[in-house]
Amino acid sequence: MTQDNGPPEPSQLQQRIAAAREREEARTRPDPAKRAMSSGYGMALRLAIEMVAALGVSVFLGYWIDKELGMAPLFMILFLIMGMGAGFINVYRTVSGLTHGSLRGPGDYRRDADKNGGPGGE
Amino acid sequence: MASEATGEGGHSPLAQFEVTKMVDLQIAGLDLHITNSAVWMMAATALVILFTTVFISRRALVPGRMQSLVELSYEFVANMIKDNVGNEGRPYFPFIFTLFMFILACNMLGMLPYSFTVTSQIVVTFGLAFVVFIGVTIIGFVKHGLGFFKFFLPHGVPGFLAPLVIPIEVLSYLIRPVSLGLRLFANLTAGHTMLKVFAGFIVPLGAFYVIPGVIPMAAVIGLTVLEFAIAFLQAYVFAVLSCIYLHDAIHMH
Repeated sequence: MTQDNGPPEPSQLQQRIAAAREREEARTRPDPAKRAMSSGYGMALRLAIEMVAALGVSVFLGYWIDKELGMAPLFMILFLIMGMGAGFINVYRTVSGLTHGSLRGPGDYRRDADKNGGPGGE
Repeated sequence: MASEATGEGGHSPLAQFEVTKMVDLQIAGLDLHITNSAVWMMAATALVILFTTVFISRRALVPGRMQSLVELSYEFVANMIKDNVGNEGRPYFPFIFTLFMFILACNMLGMLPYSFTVTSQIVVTFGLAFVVFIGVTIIGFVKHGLGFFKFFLPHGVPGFLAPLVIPIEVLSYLIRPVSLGLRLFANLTAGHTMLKVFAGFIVPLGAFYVIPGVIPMAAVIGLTVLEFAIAFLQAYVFAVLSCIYLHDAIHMH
């Protein structure tokens, strides 16, 4: 903004606006929250909690159904296996949601930003 | 980070999570005593109310320091909803904003020495998570009627896999509130416990050799900074995940 004096040409102005916008984008893009969320420790804790919650909920549900119906270990085992599946699905969704940087949904500008080289490389 | 003695001449790193009775209150035979947890929750609520009303009462066109802080937090949550839910999410702004500010205030107040971290109680985090879960489920059924059940059969799944996929999807939907609440609880509890454990090394080491006590001290300083980051981050993650669940309920994909 300081290097050239005199009246700026419209085309030049356009360019400068674009450049300034880019700089602003680059400055604000890697916001600390996103960066810290994808740090190794945080990620590991997130995935571990996802898996533990899945198994906990499904075993609890299976145990409760067993107690109500009196079919000792049948539903607990069934729900344990399904819970593993659900846990893996949740873990997969967490991981893929983060690596694509998009929290899904159309019209999500974050996804568009990623296409032209967003955070990447996690 | 409260450091009350456990009674038998020692400091347990877990003593900070003890819920104690502060004010005895009996109304019509009901035991309504106020615990330290309730006191700090009220303090968090008061802080948020103070933050969003008093600081913005001047309404300057060019905002001052505090006013721009309030406006910044408003913009932050508004953008979060716009990015994760879309324009249909705007009616839910007050809820998400309240949720975010309350959790943030609780986490930050928990960083004060001798204070009590409300969000380290699994009851509190599960309560918040189930409010989100039940609310989002109701919104889903109101918006789509019984068509909301189609949410549990993702697009493009072959018919013969449906009996396998639907129970797993239902289960994974039921798991959401638990993992949401557990995440907040685990992060806050683990962080604060770690802080206390490291702090407990300082004096015993420093008493015998002056230098080794410095090492856990440095660790505590580093961890304190990290804890502030986690306090903000977990409030953010909670709010973002609530937004995503809201998105799923409104758009169903």
